[in-house]
Amino acid sequence: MTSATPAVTSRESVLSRTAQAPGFNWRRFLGRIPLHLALLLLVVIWITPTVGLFISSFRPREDIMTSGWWTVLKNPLDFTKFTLENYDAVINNPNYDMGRAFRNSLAIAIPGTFFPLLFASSAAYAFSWMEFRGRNTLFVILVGMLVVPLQLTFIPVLRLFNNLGFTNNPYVPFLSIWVAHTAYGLPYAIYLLRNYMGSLPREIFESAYLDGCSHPTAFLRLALPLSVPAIASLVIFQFLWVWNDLLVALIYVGGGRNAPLTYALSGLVNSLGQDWHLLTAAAFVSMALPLVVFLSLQRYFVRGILAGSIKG
Amino acid sequence: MNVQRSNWAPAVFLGPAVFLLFMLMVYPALETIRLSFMDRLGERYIGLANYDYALTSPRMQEAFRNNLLWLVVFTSGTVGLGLLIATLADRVRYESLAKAIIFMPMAISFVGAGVIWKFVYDLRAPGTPLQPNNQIGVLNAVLLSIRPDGTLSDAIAMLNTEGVPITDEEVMQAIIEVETARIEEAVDGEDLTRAEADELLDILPGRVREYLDGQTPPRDERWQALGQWPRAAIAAINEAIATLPPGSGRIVCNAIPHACAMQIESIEGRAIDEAVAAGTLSAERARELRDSLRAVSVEYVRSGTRPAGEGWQTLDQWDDIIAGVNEVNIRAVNTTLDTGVEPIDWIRRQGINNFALIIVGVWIWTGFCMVVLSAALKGIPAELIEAARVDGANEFQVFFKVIIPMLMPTLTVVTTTMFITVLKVFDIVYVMTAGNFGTEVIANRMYLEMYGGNREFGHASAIAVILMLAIVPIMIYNIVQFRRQEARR
Repeated sequence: MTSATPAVTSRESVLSRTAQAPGFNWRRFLGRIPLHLALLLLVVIWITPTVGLFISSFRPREDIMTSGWWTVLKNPLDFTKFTLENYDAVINNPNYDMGRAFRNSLAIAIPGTFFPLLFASSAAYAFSWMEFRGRNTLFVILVGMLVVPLQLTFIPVLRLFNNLGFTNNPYVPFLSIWVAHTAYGLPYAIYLLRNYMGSLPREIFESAYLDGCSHPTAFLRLALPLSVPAIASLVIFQFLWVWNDLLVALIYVGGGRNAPLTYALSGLVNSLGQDWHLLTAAAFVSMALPLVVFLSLQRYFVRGILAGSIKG
Repeated sequence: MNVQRSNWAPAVFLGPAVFLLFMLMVYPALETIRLSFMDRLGERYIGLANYDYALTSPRMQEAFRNNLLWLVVFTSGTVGLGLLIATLADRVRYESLAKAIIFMPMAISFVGAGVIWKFVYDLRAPGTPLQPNNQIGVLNAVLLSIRPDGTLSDAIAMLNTEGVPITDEEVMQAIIEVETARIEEAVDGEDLTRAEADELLDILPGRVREYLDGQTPPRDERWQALGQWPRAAIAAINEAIATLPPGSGRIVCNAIPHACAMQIESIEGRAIDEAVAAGTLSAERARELRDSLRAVSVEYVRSGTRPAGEGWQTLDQWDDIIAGVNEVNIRAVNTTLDTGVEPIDWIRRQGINNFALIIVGVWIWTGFCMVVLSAALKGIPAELIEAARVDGANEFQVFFKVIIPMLMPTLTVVTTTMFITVLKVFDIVYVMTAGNFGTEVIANRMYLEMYGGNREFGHASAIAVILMLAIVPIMIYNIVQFRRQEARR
């Protein structure tokens, strides 16, 4: 990782230099065994619950109820012990209908990510590179909403949505929750993007303005492209937040045909109770997309989010 | 600041965000503050009554206590473990893999995490006949594997040691006979093909062996007599006991004390009932006797200690009862082999369940702390650390005298973030216990007041305001940090 850029003195290279003593350094190797054991133990503890859920979701009902999932590890290649029936049931059986819930979650999460990012990035630009009266006060008010418990807003907002005809709108069934997620996602997005955009080199912007560059152009051509790491990380964060949200969906969508995955799953927790073969499969259906997003975009995601949050 | 000045541009750039936030957050928050001084329908001003409820009602006091517990345990757990893992992972080659695994829970929903951990905490009620190791939740399985219950072959060994002519092979044979007979019947009835039957018969002895050693009986629907395996085993044991000369019950009782204790219990219990009916024993004393009967009878079988106190009806006959025991039953065997380690109901047992929920939170949020701290760790100049090493500092001194002070600003940020998280904690509690069993927290209480039947909007609003007030100090701190950064630019 760091060996490719020898100009940068990283700590890793310091460590490896000390390791290059003549011959194999037994003392160092033995001294590091507790380090490896401690880290390995933590990693195993962290991953075991998820592995258990994953394995169980492929086991027949009778097996799950009578033996621990770890018993299959004795001969993991015995595929006769595994089945896809649980997934078939939770996705296709209309009683569980996780397939529809999956589509609903997509229909909620995609606009619920796009709009807050759009509005937050323009606001963050204004807070970073425009000067106007009450700038700091306004910023503090907006970002201060970050600590407002969402429950504090539900009753008045629900009343507002009812008056506007947003609730159960026949043409745009998800309108309420789109608007809600857009507003609720703004404080954090503004906060993060303002920190990121505000820390971009001001010489770039100053020289652009001197050259007659307007705010819209500077926003679209400079601020947005330069903020891609922060925006990308926010896209992932906001998408996962909306996808994983239960509370807001509970209030603005409720059950029925439009319920997203989290709502459907929490319903199954109550109704199925001990039917672990279905619960584990349903839980994994709800987790699959976030896991894919996280695993495939992880490096980029972590780098971006840190650039935004640590610099602040 | 010497950037462009204009009047319209800020309005356009900020318009949508400001409009949405004022309509959906600022105004509703203020409206909710107003509602906190109104009655439950928001129609009549009632002063501070809602705050009186929010601060003094028992459920809210429980919530305050639990949130305080969360604040201490959750925050120190996430920040401490995050720092530990970041530091450890920084020194190994598989750093990114290790960190990805720790961070993974951040990607999934609290509902999903709730299902995952409910499964980890799963409890099978104890006492299922001769299936002692059948916990399917990891935590209880680990707990019981530390001191496993006895197995059927343990019972056989104990009987054999005392002189009952019985071996594992004989018991296995009895089970195999029952199963084989039923399999052959199934072949005749064309429920099984010959080939299937032969396959089953082939693996049968192995499965029976596992069963004796404490494994759950194999759940293959083609087995025909699974339910009869325990009975067949006990029948074989009783057959061996029957070959002893009459009056040899003591031998059985030394191996399986509960076989005799249960006999004493039933005879003495009946005699106590009769004595109460006849008026020779007070009902109160009878209850005392019955309460201690189990312990007393087991103790008598084991050591011959006669129970103290008046009122025992059949004490003279207890030796005869013991001598006359000529069979055991499943429950007696099971009870005797029980080593006394009970699986734990992690989600319902008070004093444990709050920690069980906090662990779920720590599992989710440690990854966040780790990633932030790890990045800060890598930002520490290598020269600084090397200089400390050259000056003779050992690894611990480097950590506490160089790394920790350098990390202090980041540690503060991470800790405040966890404070805010913990004050708002809701989903985990809602999904796993719904605030029952003594696990109530402020945010869940607020939700329940609002939507949990009574629609106490006044109560809910007051609770929300109190929650806000708890968060304000952290908010002020954040603003100070922001101003400081602004000054540096």
